[in-house]
Amino acid sequence: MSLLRPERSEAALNGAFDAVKSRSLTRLAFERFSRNKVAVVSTIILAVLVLLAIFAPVAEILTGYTMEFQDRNFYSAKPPNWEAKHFLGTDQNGRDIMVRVIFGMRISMLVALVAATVALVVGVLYGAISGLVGGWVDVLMMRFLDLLISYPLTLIAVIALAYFGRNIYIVFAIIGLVEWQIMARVVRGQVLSLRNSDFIEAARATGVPTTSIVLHHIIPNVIGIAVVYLTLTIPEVILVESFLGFLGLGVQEPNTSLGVLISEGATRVEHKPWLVFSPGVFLVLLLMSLNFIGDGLRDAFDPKDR
Amino acid sequence: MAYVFRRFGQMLILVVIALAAVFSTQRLAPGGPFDGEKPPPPEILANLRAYYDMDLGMPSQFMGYLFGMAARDVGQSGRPGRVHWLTIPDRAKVSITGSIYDELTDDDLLVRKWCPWDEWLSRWVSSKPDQRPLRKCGVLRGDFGLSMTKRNIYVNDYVRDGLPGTLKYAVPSLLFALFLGVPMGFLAAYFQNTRVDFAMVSAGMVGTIIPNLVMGPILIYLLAIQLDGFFHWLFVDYLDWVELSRRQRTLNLIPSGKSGGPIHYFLPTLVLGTALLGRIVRLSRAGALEALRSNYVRTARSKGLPNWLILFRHVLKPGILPVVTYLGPVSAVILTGSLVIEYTFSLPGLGSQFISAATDRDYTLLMGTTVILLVFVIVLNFIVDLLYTWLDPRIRTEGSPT
Repeated sequence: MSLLRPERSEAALNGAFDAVKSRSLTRLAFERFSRNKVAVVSTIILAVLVLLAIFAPVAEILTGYTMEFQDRNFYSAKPPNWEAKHFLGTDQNGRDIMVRVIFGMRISMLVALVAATVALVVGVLYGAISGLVGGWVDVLMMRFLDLLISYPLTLIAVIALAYFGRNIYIVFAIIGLVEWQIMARVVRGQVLSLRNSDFIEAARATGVPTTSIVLHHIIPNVIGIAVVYLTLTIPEVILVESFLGFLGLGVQEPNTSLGVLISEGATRVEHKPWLVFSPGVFLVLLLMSLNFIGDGLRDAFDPKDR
Repeated sequence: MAYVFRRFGQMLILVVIALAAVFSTQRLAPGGPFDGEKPPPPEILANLRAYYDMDLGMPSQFMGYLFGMAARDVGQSGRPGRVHWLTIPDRAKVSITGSIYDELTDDDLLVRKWCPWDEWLSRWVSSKPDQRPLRKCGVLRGDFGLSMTKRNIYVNDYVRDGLPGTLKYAVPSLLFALFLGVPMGFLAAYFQNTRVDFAMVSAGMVGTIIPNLVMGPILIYLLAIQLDGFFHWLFVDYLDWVELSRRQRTLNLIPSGKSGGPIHYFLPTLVLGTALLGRIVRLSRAGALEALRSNYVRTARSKGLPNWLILFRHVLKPGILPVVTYLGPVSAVILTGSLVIEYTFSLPGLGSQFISAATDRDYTLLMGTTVILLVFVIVLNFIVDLLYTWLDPRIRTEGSPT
């Protein structure tokens, strides 16, 4: 049969391969992810929050209040007032809370993205070097990581922020340096299992140079899992940022973040609960959706881990 | 045992590295403890810097911090000033270890007659306690030095005042999370994939999803204000049982001041404990599931052992293994959480001292609090290792986990 019509069977074979390939990794993962209702709902919530953050100036236009405008009639934290378009109330200085929360969320997301990228770069580099070099370097690096994981790095971040100022770039870097260990460990595990896999063996046996193996076989296979853990790192980073902001060590005054807003309200919750509730709700929604999306992605890409 | 000691040694080395890192970064960072709104005149500044050994090189400063330093005479080095702290004048008040809250002038010199741990150490090393008056005894002999912003208070006093306030809430919340979370996880595993399982896991998730900086205000609002108001209405206005004025609280849940019954532990413990609960429920559920699926449990079941006996005898120990491994990182969670509750409930404690020391650049106070917090972490990790070797016999024979 195949001798008679080789081109057709080849085409069929190619088609079969195409079908298998197109259903292989990403598609299957996407299907698994979309069957996870919690994750899908979280994605929608996150999309709304991200849109709010991106189009934050629209809130200024709609309410007519800028972030720093101090409404003289609403000094010293007044409750929500719909006639005056203070939909979530005002703070001590008469500034509109809704606008501030949306802008604060914008800063929180920005910090989260950049700091998580820092964590990604550091973690991937550390894990990849540890896994690729192997030997005593690997042992040493992993032992160091073991020690670091049970270590209050957030306290070191507090010290560093107190000393090196509250410049937003410094906040990015320091928070990124707190949350990279899990990433490093995951990447190292992936690199190790790749190194022992058959196709790398085959590539090595056919004489592919090491740099080419790393570039074409190891990096593409590590990126997927790194991105999955990136979505799990982002909520951690947001949490650290809001913690530092809560203690008065986060971004500085013209800017604000969810943690800063919560800390402004936390001590006045007895008489003025709306000060803390609106940023609190937004923070919880953000963390919750990110956590569920991260869990969903991990389950989708790595179903054996469930 | 050897494994445990090795872990302990590693942690000690890491602490020294961390201390060196904190010590050097804080001294290399721009700014210092003495430049505030109104910096002191240059002569006094020079003397102050000399008193705290900040004019020395970094390594000798660190050595002095660790091992102590006798009085240095730098008064003659061409930097005259009003304060002569480094030479020991006759009229100087020589204070013994303990609190130095009495009024001191700039001329007074604080010299320890003996170091805080000397008696204790000399009993261990069986030597005579060192009677030389030391300006600094060093951390290893229990002296954290004088605070840099409040220059007549020893950091030891700060620690003595702050540490109970931190441990008071850290320990109960850890116990709360363990004694609630582990049974919840076991229940969830036992009734796997039923409503009970779902309820337990999602109840644990609540604390994980709501971070404690939001949880604190929310619980204050719900329990200490709304519930309190309801009870006030019920007991005082409606039933007329209790006589309270309008402004007094019925439950008195918000911790305030030093006078407080056990009810004041409720809210901080809840806030700190729920942050740990979700993770503990998940881990103990996973551990118990694995144990329940194992062959020895099947054997026990086929032997006809009752379920509760299987749970206690065969599932408990392997089931809590993952929880025990999590207890090491938990110490960091508790520390950051205690910073949050100290702020939310305005409690006195090491955390608030740590923050204020970091923002005021009080180098000695910051080092002191860091040492104490790290020791807390180390002790917890050490306990975890002990527990682990007891629970998992494989480590005892092989000498290493994994």
